[in-house]
Amino acid sequence: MITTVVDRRRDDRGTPSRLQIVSSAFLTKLARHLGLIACLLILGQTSSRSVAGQIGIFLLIVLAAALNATGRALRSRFYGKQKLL
Amino acid sequence: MIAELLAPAKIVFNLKGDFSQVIDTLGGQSSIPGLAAQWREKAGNQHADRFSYIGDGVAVPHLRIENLAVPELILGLSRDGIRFNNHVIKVVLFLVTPAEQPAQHLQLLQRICSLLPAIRDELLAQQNPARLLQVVARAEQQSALPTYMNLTQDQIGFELQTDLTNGLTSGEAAARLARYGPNVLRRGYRTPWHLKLIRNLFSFFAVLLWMAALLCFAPGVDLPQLGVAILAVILINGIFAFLQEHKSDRALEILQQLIAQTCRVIRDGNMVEIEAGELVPGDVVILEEGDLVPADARLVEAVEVEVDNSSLTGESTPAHRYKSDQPVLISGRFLWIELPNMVFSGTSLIRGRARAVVFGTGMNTEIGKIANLTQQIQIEDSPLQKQLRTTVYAIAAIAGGLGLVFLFLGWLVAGLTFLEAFVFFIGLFVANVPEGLLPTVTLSLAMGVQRMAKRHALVKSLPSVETLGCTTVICCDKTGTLTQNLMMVTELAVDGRWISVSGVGYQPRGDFTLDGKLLPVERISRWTALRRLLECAFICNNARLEKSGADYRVIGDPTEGALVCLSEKAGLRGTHLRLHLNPFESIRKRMSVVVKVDRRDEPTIYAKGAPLEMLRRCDRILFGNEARPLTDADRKRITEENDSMASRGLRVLAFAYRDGEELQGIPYTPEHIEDHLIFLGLAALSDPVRREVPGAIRACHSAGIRVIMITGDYALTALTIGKQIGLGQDSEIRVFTGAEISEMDDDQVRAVLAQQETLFARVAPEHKLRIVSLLKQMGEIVAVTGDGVNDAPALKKADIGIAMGLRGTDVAKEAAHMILTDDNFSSIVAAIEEGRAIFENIKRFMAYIFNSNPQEMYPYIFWALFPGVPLAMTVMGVLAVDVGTDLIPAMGLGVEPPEEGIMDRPPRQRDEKLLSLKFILRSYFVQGTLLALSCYATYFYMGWVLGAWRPGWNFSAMPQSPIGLRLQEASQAYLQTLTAYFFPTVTTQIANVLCKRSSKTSLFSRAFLTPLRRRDSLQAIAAWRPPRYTTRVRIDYHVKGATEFVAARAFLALAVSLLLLPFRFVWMLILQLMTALERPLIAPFAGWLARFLERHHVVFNLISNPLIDAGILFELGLCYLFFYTPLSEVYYFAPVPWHVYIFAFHGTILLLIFEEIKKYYRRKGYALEVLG
Repeated sequence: MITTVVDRRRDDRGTPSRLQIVSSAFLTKLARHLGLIACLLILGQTSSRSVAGQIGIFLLIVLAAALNATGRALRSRFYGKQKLL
Repeated sequence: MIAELLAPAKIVFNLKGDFSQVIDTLGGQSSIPGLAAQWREKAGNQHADRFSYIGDGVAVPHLRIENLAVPELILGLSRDGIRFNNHVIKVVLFLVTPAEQPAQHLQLLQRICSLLPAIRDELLAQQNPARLLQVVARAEQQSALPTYMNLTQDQIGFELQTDLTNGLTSGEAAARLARYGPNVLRRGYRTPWHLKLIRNLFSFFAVLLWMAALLCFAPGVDLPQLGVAILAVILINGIFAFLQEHKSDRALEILQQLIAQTCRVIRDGNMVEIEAGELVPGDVVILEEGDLVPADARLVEAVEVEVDNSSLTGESTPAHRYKSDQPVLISGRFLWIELPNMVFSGTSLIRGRARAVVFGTGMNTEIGKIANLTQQIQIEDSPLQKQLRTTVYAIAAIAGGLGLVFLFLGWLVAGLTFLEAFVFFIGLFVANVPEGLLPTVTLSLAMGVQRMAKRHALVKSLPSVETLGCTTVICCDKTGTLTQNLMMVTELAVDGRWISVSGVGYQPRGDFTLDGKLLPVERISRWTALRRLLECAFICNNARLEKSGADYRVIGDPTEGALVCLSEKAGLRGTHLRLHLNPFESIRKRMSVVVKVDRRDEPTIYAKGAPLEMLRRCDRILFGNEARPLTDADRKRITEENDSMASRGLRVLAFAYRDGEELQGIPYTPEHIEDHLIFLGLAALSDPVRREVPGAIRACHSAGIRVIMITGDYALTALTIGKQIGLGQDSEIRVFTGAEISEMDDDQVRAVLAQQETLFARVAPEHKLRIVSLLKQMGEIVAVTGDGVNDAPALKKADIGIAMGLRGTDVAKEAAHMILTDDNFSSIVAAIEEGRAIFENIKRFMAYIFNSNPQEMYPYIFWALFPGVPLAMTVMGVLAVDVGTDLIPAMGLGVEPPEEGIMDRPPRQRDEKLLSLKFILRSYFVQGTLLALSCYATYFYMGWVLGAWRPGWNFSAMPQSPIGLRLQEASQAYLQTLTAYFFPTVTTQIANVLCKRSSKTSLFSRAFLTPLRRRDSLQAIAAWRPPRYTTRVRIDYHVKGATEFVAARAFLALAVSLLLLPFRFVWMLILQLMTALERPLIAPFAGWLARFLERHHVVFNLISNPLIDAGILFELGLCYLFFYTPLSEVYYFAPVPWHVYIFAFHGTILLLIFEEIKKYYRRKGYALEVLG
């Protein structure tokens, strides 16, 4: 039997917990941070002074995209598709 | 309605000739060519009567024409009269309506036929078209005139061209379906899916990835495979985001859910079940108990019909509906949706059965009009959204410009390669753009939402939280918001004497007082008239009281519940057998029952209703212990008693009875039994004011917020409640009715709205929308409450639409920005306080974020402008500051609760700048520079420790940056100087975040936390216990339905659960250990900690915002990772001796001293804005 999990992390009024809100903002921010680092690492390839190889940079970008998607998913789960800031 | 459609050019005086010539004359005034000929063709000779309603010297020839944009009305007058089919006609109104809108046609026809006969003579007296239009407009607003003429069923069948017995034929139904369209609500404009997809492919994050992908193809980099891979990531990321966003419009969905999916209809003489979407005007539908009404329809047969109109009107009480075939004027003011022989789409039949002919489908139904209005109103950006957008664009432009200048300086002057200079550009850009700002603002608003939820206000749209803070006007309902939404009998008038009744809510306990003396139950039972009145109140009643916990609730109508409660207060008991019920009807304004009361053989009639209406039906009065004829003096006295009660805003009901042998054998219909009644007395009911409302109104006044009451109730009731809650602030409150404001032009209404506080009574939803629109035009920030479907446009138009959580309809809740879970006015005020706090918090953390920018910027400026000066902070350092110090501590500032006194100031101006040039200059050149000095002091201290620099030497003595900024080749000494510059950015921001928590109150003062917050926090600490580990609730998957999509989600959830299993196991062990230690260790420690913090308020102040404390720990932890782990090779840092770290805290101490001095002078009344 396949089971699904009920989200119990919301408080009684159905509003998101503080941890969830902070996580969503932090994940989005971290994703941008990693994206910028990836840009710098690509630039670093010009003089072969980057510590990461192509696969490393690609994985960094994938990680950034995953974090961004998770942060956005958390946010849209709480606030729907309303226009945010 | 009519005056708006009439124009002076379409009014003809002195009509002459026969009716045919009159038609030609009026048709000649129309913009539609050949109108008269078209009418003649349709009407012919046989149907001319039917195509021209005639009554009281008025004729209304009418016609429905296809593809007509708006109805056209042409009015003709003839003082001498025109002869037509044995009638003499003096007023002729030619009505032409769009064929596609039969509902509008019927509404106009019924309205015109009721209005014109009433003002016929006044119209004939006019010579001037403008004056004539004024007469029509004024008459439309007169509450004394009937609103609609009831057309006969025969006429309705004729107008809709249908057979009321056999319905439409299938062919005709198909033709009408093609002409009128399906019976569904159409969606308005939506952003096309491809635009949504493009928007997601170019979000801020996606742009970063685009930049990375493009860089891969740049000369010198040449990583095409990586570039292609990144493009694939962009595509997948964009599609994923698009799918998340691509959801339907909930408001329309909810409206559509209100409409039936299938219905039974008579077609070709047979009853068939069809899709409700295939219903067309002219169809005859069959409705039974429990059915959703599929379209707007007129009842042609009805048996004991009660409808639930709450989805349209918000009115929770079921309404009776019945067949009415008489061509009579419907007396009193009625909204179209209140007409007693109509049912409307979106409502439901809760009792009885009916047959009805459809006249409105799809968007031409009342609910369709609401859907249309709701979709048409554009959602405007909140002030905060506008400001933030402007701010971020401005800063990005400045940062980009500055970055470009230095890019070219670095490339062309400093001798860097273009790509090296580009790194430089990124550093300056990232340093200046407060990219943490938007997530932090979002968090701050979300936290506000959370706090508001605890204060019974659920905010749906985040920007609305802040908009609440600048609210200047609250337009609110009366019933349920300012009052308790319950009825209570407070006074009785019996035998010419006044009796007061006390009590709380619906609790059946209270006292009866006569002339200030308590009336015991024994005396009540001996007082025949009073006892009979109470008996009547109890028996002529469909409600009952039910105990609900410690309280009581009413099952049925609240007014009737109040009467049951009244009788129970007097200890009334007994049984009776109900023989017949004549339910309350708005046209009769009374109800009656025929009962057999125990110990009496003959039936008794009990009746209750509107006082004057009841008085007309009585010819005797029970005075003392016996019935005697009702004299004129009695009638005068009762009328005065009624006026006295009504003038105090009380709802008044009269009671009467009738018994005796004469009732044997007569039919129990209203016409037979509701006459020759014996008058008993009056009862006055009121809806008590909520206890907390007067205080909340005072809070609004001290916060500079005006409260405007907009109610559908009577003016006197509104005025009484207004006075009780303290509206008007001791000045005279003015009351305007909906009819009065309809007669005013916009300037006049604006003048009314500019007054201090005003009440609007007897208003319709369109009046509410107009008031809101005008207030917004006047520059006010308007919060509006509402509960019915027809409030949705006003709720959507307002800056803050507030729906009632308990009694609001789904559509109102969907259109609103905020929902009150307790329907209480004081919750709005609490939400406004939170909104104000949020704006203050946003200002605080913006100042905090901007203060750190100069620390990141100065090293680049010095490095670029002064040759030989080493770069003290790399781009990676800037990114580290951004992720370390800018986010979590700033979020901590965003969740600070309201400071004391926040509601003692006027609302902030709508255009008050969140970020002004002065603010930026102060942040950069005062506090920011102070913090940067601290960084440079530690930087030079490190140089001194390394032996490279001595006081008096310049920058060039410090360890140099590697050539071409090849940081992998950087010396250990240089990396240590980078650490020495970076670490103070963290330590100074610790002081900065702590100081920014309050603009005036010292961090070391006991008053730093409000007493309430201190008490709540200490209680929470003392009561803290470790959470119990609970296994997650599992739901049988099959219960949810085995769709593939759900199955895929369930599989993912299972996979994630498996991945998290080890972590969950560790978490379980920790929690179980803590649970084991709870009694011996944790509970005593929590108690001790609370007592310790109570004594040591400074420590408590420092740790009272857990998010700030977590942020400080996070940034210190991050420093460790950056300096002592392999991440140091990514971020280019190296560990420094321990005393350098200690030295770096000098900035913390200096900033604390600086801020405390500043706050001291602020408390003394000096603004000291120049110091930031």
